[in-house]
Amino acid sequence: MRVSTLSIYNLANSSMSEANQALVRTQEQISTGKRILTAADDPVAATRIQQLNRNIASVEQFNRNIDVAENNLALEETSLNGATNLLQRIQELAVQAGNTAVLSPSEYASLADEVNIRLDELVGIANTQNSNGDYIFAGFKSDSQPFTGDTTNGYQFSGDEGQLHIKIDNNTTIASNDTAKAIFVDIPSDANNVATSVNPNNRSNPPISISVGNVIDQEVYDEFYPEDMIIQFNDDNPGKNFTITERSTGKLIAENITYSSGETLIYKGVELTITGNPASADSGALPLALVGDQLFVDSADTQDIITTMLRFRDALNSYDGSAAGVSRLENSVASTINNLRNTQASISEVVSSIGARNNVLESMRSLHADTNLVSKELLSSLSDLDFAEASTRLQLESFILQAAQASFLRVSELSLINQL
Amino acid sequence: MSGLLGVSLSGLQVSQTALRVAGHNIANANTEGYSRQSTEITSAGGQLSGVGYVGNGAQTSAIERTVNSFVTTQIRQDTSLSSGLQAYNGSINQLNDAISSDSPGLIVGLESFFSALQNATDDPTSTPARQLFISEAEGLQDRFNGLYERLETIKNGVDANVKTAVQQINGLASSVASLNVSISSANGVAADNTPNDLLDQRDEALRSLSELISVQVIQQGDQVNVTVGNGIPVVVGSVVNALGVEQNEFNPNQFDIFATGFTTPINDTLSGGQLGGLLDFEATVIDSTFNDIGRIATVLADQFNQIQAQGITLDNNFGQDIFSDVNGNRNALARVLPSINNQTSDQVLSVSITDSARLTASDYSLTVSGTNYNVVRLSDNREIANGSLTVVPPATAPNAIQFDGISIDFQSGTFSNNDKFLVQPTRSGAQNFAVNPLQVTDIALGSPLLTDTNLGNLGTAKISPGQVLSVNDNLGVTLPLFAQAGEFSPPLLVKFTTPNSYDILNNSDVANPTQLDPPIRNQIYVQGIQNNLFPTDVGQTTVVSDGTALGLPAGPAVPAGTGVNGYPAETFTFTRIDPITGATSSQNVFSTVNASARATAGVLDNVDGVSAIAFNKLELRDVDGLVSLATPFQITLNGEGLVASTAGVFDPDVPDPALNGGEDFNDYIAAKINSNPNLTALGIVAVSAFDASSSEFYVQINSTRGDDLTLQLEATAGRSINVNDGDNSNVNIAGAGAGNVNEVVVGGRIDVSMASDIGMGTTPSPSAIFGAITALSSFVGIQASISGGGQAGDQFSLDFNTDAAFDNRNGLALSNLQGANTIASSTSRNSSDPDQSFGDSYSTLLETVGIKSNISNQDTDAANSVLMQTINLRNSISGVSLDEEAADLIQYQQLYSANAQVINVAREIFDQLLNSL
Repeated sequence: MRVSTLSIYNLANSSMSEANQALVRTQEQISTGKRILTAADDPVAATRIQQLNRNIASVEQFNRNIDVAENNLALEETSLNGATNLLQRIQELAVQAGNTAVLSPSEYASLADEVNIRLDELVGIANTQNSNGDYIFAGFKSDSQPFTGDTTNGYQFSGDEGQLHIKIDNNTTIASNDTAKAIFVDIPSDANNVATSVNPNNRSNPPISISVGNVIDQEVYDEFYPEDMIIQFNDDNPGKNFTITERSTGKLIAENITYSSGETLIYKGVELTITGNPASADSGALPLALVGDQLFVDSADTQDIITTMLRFRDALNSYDGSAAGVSRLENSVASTINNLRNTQASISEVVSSIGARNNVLESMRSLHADTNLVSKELLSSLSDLDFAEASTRLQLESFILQAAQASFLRVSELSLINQL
Repeated sequence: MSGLLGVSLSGLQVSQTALRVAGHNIANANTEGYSRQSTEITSAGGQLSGVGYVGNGAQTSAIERTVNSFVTTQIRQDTSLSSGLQAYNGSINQLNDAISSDSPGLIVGLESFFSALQNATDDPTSTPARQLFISEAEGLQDRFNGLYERLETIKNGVDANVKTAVQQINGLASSVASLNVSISSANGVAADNTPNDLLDQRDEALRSLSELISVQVIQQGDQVNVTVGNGIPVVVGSVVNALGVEQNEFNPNQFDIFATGFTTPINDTLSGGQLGGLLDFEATVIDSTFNDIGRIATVLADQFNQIQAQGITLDNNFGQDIFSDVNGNRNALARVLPSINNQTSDQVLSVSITDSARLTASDYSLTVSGTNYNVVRLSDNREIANGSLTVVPPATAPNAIQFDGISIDFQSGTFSNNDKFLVQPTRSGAQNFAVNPLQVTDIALGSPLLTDTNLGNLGTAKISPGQVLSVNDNLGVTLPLFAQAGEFSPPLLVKFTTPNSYDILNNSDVANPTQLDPPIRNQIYVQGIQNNLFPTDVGQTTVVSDGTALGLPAGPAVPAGTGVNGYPAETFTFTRIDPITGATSSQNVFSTVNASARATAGVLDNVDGVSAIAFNKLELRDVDGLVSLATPFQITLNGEGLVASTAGVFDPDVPDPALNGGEDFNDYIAAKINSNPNLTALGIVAVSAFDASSSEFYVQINSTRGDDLTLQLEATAGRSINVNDGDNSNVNIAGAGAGNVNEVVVGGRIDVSMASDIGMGTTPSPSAIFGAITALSSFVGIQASISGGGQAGDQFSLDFNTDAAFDNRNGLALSNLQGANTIASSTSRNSSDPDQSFGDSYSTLLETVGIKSNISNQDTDAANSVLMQTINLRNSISGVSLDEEAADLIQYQQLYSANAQVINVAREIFDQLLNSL
């Protein structure tokens, strides 16, 4: 075949530029350590690499989430350990208090003092805050104290049942807290009990309040149980007065009782006080008759630990050494011990569930570690460069380039024109 | 003598010409498109003399270029192929780099966005975590917007190149045309001699043209005609039909190519060359990439906003849009591009996303023909919707076409025959992806639903935390429950009526919860499973029985055994509209005369998609009308005697009905009912209660199954009781002496719930049982479940989750979007079945572009080497070899010298002759 001068130059050009391109690519691979530089190099592997990277990133995020859950649970467990120790001490006091033959009323008063102090401590534990200032036992309402009140009138629980769930895997979440409702409030009671509340729709401002409520005559109350009472304020007659009805049947329990704030009321064996200035009903109001404030005394088979301690303290304080007093105190001690036992059972249930959750977190973490390892190995096999192969290739490619350059120099010298 | 001079002169001339040609070849050794020329030397013939023909020397017969027309054509074809692929390859590599490199890559942005979301969800009260989430959302916006800009840059670059290429084509076409003229005139001057260099120039111009576009060259005489595409003439002899670039019919930023005499763009017919490659890239790659990325952005923004709206913020408000509304007016209007050829320009259309999960990445064309429209999905050229414009012009009547998760809304304007619109639901998604201005408190990590198990409950049943299903009904209107910020309207209460049944009540008045409208009552509770409380079907409706025959309307008591509930036989028609085909089908069921509500409910319940619940109620009043406890006396309920006596002597615990306004007797009757195993097995329970409005005691008897309640009285004449059904007035049952028993039968009530798309009718209408049918939506929008052992009176509240700082349920729902299948891939069975997450979808895009880019790289290399081979072939034929030319130089130099020598000989001969004189 005829070889034109242009062909010689074209050939040299293209072969050198090809060799150069290959060399630069290999060099880039070596300097980045990556086999695949863009998706075009190996589209299927590039997609797989991206999926693996996403897996690794999400596993790392899950591990961070697990850290958060573990921290939350650790704080909760510490608080609950404190509560357990405290209840242990109360139990000792209760057992001690059962010893009516030995102790004098003044010694009971000092026992009552200790219970009072422990009560503050327990409220402190139940109102524990984390580093963000969240009340960890308040449920969702972590911005406000779950237990408010004082040691005289009792404490109201204002939290809820909400639990913070943390995502520890694609389809798995785990509760990272428990609420005081489950731990301290919803405790099976030794005896039938009441739970009091005010209607949130009450018009009085500041709203009237009702005391925690105390069953002082268990026999009378047990007969009434499980009915609920509604205390409803009527039209003024002319003073403020209220009527108590049975919730499920509408039957009257007491009608048109004159109200005075803070007075001790006893109905169906339940002692309670209402304080504040209630809004009266106005059946003549236009366009719509106004409903008076309402309060509820619901039956309950639970009693929160704080009320248990308050009642125990009150029983200790009111001990007068009389025979009736001894029997009252013995009853109180017996039910206190039972309620304490129930509370301890509830706490240990939660603590063991924390342990179980920690186990889940741990096993999830090791699962993630395995996934991570496998993904990274796969990723490495897909994307990492075989340096031995690449450096050999670099050697070969640079040799080819040198050869192309050298041969071109030689060929280009061969021209008849030079000989003229 | 002179002959000899003449002969050698011709030799000199020939060798001079040959030397010039060789010089010309050397001079053009490097000229593009130059074909080497050679000198054809022939003998000049001879002159007849006496001794024969004496030669006249040599002459140059022609200077010819060495070309092979087959190779020339081949070069043009290979050039078109190669430069087409190269242009495509350059663009796609640019795109591949833009979307696969890490820094602008969406994957990284999505990952850190969801990571920040999870951190905020882990710690919902942490301000820094929420702040970081907002920053990452803004980062994601930058990623989407940046990606869009890069695509736009690439597209603009391609567009600019297209314009330049067309200009170059026109320039080269006019060169070809003018060379045609020059060649013709050169041939006219010297018909026998070919204008080699002009031909070379024309061949080179044609080759350059084929770099830009694939051309067909037709030789016509000494001129060539050039056509592109499917025979569109660009050069005809000396005439140039220049190609034009004009604004696209729909999009002012896009260009179409027009040929002289053509009214429609010829983009689709052009192939090969730079222009073909660029057009191919535009048509097959860049537009779909815009749509794919736009779809990810649109679906992400829409789904996020939807879930955000189901949550509550730290300020107790429902979540507002995090990302700018995908159906915001500006976005909705920008999705429709009218053709500039439309007869009027006053049409206003908007496209809103109705179901982002069904969104495709395709564009659509909407064409009006007469009074009809049709919509074609451009990805597969399938007609997806057609119909008639209800009002032509639909000046004010909004008229929506819905398909593939979008809705085209005709807002106003005049629509005429042949009006066209381009619908681009996703094109600008990435550009319009924007984060709304947010405060840290605005992220709705909490759920508005707070469930609570009442502390006073005696059972062990627990309620789940629950979730929000949707804040909107099936028409997109906010459900009543969520109408007010900061509260549920109304708050709800689940109350167990028996251990196996419950009502869901309006708990606005805590002291006296009332039935909802429509009611959710007498629901069956099963222990040992999770009992879902609410309907999940957003279109579910409920019909409440409200007929005139219901209950115990009127009429005296009748002798025992003759009482009936008085319910007529009726026909109930359920009509189902298929949501996809729109076809209706209906089913009739029948009730029988005097059938109990329970039996009729059973019949209705058998219809697919219909559930019916029956229940019954009876009030026993005014027992003091019995005056005293005296024989004969018996009250029976459904055949069960309630007043215990032995051999005509009342048991000692039977109270006197007249005592205490009947309270004691009522208590006794209620207790008897509640302790009767036959009655409780029927779900019949009784409460002895006090009616404060009339100040009287009564017994309320409920049946949770809907059996007829038959109450009989045997008593001394003149003594009586009253009975009613809780709604209608009392019916008196009077005593008629020993052995004469009178009775009343109270018929039950039925609540019918129907799945969406089912309607109910009755014959006769209005029905005596149901009254006029009013189907009310019973979808509440939330779901929670109760499990465990319930007791009558147990209560569970479902209320607004006020101040729920530590609630992250909605945050978890938002986080789940990361892995949720929200986008339908092209391999999904149908577009309503999303099978890819955001990340998957982007990976698929990356893979698609990667594969195209990879194939294009290989094709380009192959085409290049083919072209190189053809060029080599041409060079071996037409290229100048300097060695060859050097040899020619030597050869013709020697020829010249020899001829000069001949002249010298002639001169010497002449001199000798002169000297001899």
